[in-house]
Amino acid sequence: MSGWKRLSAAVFFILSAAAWAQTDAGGSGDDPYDTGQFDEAVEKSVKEDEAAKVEVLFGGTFLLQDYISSYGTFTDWTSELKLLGKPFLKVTDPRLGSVFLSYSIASTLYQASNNPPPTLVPTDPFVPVFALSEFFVSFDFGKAVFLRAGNQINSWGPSFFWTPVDFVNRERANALSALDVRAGVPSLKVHVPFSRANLFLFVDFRDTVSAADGVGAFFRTVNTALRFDLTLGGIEFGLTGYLDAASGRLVNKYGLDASGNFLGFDLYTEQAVSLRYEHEENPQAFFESYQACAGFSRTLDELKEWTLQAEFFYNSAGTDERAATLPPGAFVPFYTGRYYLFASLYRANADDVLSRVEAQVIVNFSDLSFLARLSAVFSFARTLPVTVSVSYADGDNGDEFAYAGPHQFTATVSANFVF
Amino acid sequence: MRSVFFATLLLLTGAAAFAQTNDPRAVRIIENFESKLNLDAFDVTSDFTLVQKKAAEADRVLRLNIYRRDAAGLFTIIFTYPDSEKGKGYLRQGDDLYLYLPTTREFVFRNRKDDIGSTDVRTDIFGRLTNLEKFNVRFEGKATVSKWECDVVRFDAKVPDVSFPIQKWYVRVSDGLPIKVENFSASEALLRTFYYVDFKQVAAGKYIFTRFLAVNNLEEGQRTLITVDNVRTTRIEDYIFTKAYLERQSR
Repeated sequence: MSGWKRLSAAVFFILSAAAWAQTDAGGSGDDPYDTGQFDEAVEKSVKEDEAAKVEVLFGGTFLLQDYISSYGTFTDWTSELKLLGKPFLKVTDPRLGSVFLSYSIASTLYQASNNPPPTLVPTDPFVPVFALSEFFVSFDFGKAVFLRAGNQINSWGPSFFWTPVDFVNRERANALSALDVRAGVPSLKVHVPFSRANLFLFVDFRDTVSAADGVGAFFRTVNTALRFDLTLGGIEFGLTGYLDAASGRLVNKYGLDASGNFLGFDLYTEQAVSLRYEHEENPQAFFESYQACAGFSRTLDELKEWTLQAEFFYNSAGTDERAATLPPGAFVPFYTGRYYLFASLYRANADDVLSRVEAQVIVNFSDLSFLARLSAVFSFARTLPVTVSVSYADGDNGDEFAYAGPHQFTATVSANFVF
Repeated sequence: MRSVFFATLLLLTGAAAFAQTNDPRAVRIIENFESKLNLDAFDVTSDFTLVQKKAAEADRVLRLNIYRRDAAGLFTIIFTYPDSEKGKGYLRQGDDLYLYLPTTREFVFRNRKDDIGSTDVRTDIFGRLTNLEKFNVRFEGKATVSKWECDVVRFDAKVPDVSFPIQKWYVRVSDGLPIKVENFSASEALLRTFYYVDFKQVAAGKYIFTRFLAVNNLEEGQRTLITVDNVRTTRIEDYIFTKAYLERQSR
C-alpha cells in the first residue's frame, strides 16, 4: 500500500469512528445498545443513591415585595417594603418516616404613608415576626395506616379560592398571596387508604389549652374531624364532618364536595353547613350558616398555555353592611360579603422572558366593590423571577375593596427566591 | 405572460400540496411500528427507574409508576422516589395533560414539551403514539445505526403540541421497531437523541421498551437512562386515571 493510500485509510478510519461515536453514543463514546453496559451504569447510580439512606431536604420560598398604593383622589398614598419567607427542613429515613419543620418569617423593611389607612398596622422594622408554620412527624404502619402528628396545615376540598369544606384550617388566608402564611394546627391525622377511597381522622388539639380557662378536660376540649372521599365514574366525592366536643364555640360543620372533568372543563363544587346549637350557658348562640362555592377551569388553546378559571362563592353568614362599619375583628377579607365571584385568565410560558401573564377580578356582590389586577412574571436568565402587578379596587368608601378609600390604585413589584 | 403566471401559481400550489402530503412509504413504516408499540387491547402497569447523569454532578435517580390505557388515550404517572419528588404526578386524559404539584395541591395544565422531572425525556414517550395526527412524514432513505439497517423517516410538526417540531426516526428493518430518534428545534438544531435500547414482547406482536437512553445534545455529558421493570398487563381500575387518585398518592 502506498503512503497516500495508507494515510487516506487512516483518515477515513478516524473520521468514521468519530462520526459513529457522535451519532450513536451522543458523544459519550459508549455503545448505547450495549445492554450490559447500560444495566451496569443504572445499577451503579441506584446503589450510590440508595447508599445515602437518610435524606435531608432544606428549601423554602422567599419574597421581597414592595408596593405603593394610592386612593381617594390620588392625594393619599401608602408604601411598604417587606421580606417574607417560608423556609423548611425535612429529614426522611425511608425505613422509619420523616420529620418536617417550617417557619414563616415576615420582616417589614419600611412603611410610609401621608395618611395611614386603618389596614396599615405599624411594624417595627427591627423586629421580624417568626411564626411556626408546621412541625410534625409522619410514619406508617405497613403502608396501610399513615399517621402524622404535630402542627400541620390541612387542605380538604377541590376549590381554588374559597374553601368551605376546609374546616380544620378554615380557609385560605388569601388565595392571591404568593405565600401561604397559615399556621399549622396542633393535631393528629390518621389516613387509611382503600383501593378507591380514603378515610381521614383528624384530632384537633387547638382548644385543649386556652388563655382564659387554662388546661381543660381532654374529651371536652378536643375537636375531631372525619373525612371520607370516594372516586366513582371519574368523579371524586368527599364527605367531611367537624365536631367540636367542647361545645364552648358551638361549632359543628358538615361538608360535601365533588370534582370532575366534563367536556374539557374541570368542574368542582363545595357545600358546607355550620350548625350551632342552643348551648346551656349561652342560649342566644343558636345559629347556623351555609357556604357554597362552584367553579371551573379550562384551557383555551392546544398548547394549554391559556387558562380561564372562575369561582362563585355564597356565604350566608356574610353581610351587606360596609366592612368599615363592622366591629373590630369581624372584617375577614374575602369572607365578609354574601356573594363573591373570582375570575382569572392567564397565559403560562408566554415566551422565554415573560413566564406568566394574568388578569384577575374579584367582585363582592353584596357591597358591589371589586378588585381587578393585571400581573406579569418575568424570568430572566441567572437572576430571580420578578413579578409586576397593577391593581385597581373600587367601591363606596368603607366597602370591602375600598376599605382604605375608593379609587385605589396599587403597583407591586416582587422578587421570588425559591430553592 | 398570463399563462406563465398561472403556470407558476399552479407549480407553487402543487409544491405546497406535495409538501403537506405524507409519503405513503413513511406512513406504512410508522403505522407498522405504532401497531407494535400501541397496546390498545390491554392496560399496562410498569415501574420506571430514571437515572440522570450530568457532567461534574452526582447522578440523580427517580422512580415512577406508570399506568397506561392506550385504548382510551389515558396514562397516569406517579413519582415515588426520591422524597423531594414523591407525590408529583402526571395525568393524561385525551388531549389534556395535567401535572399535579403536591406542595401547592395544584393541577397545572402542561403540554408535550414538558420534561419529566427535569430529566431529558418528555411525556409523550409514555403513552399511545399518534404521530400521523401530529406530523407530516417523509421517507428519507436508509442508514445504519450500530449494526442494524434502518429506514429513516423525517417528521415535521403540523400542530403546535408536540415534544419536538422536527424529528428523525430510525426504524430497524429487521423487526420494524424504532431504535433511535433525533429531535430537532424548528431551526433544525439537534436538541436530544433518544435510543430505544431494548424492547420486551408483552403479547403477540406487541412490545414495550425496557431500556431507553435520552441524550441531551446541548449539554455535554448530560443524559437520562430509563429501565422498565414489573410490566403487568392486568386490568387497571378506572379510578387510577383520575385527578383524585393523583392527589391521594401525595398524602
